[in-house]
Amino acid sequence: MINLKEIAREMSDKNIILTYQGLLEADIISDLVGFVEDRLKERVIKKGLRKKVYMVMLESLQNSFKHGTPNYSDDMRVTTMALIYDDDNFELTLGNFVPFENRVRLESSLKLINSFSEEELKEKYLEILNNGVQSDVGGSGLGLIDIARKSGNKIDYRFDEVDNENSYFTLNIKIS
Amino acid sequence: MDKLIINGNIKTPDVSFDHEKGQFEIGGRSIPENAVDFYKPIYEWLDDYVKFPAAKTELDIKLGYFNTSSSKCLLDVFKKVEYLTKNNKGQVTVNCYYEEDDEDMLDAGEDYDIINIPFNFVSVEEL
Repeated sequence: MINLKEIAREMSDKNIILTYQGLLEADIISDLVGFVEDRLKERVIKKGLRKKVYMVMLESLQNSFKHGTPNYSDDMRVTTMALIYDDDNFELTLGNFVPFENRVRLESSLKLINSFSEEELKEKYLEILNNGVQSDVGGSGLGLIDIARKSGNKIDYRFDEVDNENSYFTLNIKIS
Repeated sequence: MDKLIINGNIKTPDVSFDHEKGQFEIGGRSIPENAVDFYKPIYEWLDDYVKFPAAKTELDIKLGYFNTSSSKCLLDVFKKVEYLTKNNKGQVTVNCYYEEDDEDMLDAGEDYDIINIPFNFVSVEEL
């Protein structure tokens, strides 16, 4: 039997609002962000911060849904996430498998985004908003920029080798 | 042509466009993974509307949340009605509602100042 008491203690010590592991199908993403929105209202988190958490989580999960490894195997399509509330800040950690070509794209986007100032992020956002074309899956190239703008922090991330075709992508975002 | 009425759900907004009054509203939340699918009928309706528009067109945006996929689609909606002012076919105003204390939504609205139509920002307690 797993030691649920230990898990419960860790969740409560670390102030974990939500952990989720599973496929991001159908309405799961909107259910998850809706659940978090309700919990943050209960905790009387002020509206501005609450909405930032909602949007950062939404864009992150939708990115994961759109750019994660597709149909490789159900295990590889799984997304794992945790949202922690710590000292008036939120920390979202999210992981999923990504195919090699998406890793290359993600890595260069993230490096660029993290090098930008607030003003440069806005300029880039407007440039893509005005000139970009949406991909077949609805990817606009704006998601990560929006996450960086709303979170107010640099985006922490890592890639771990899995096999020749896939890496495990972990995204860590502090929202303040 | 008929009024455009679309009932929203947990991911998509309510849409109510009245071509006779020139009174348009998009309200609720717009967070679908692929917003183009949702906005396509709105573009098509607007393409017809701008042929015989009302003298004044007023577009109310009352969105509590919209994702980046929708932000691009909203820009395309604004561009469709901007056509009217560009071609002297009528006046257009956009009223962008946002919840007080939601500065991100105000910033998001201000991002659209690339569009050449007057935007009013209206602060409300709750959307």
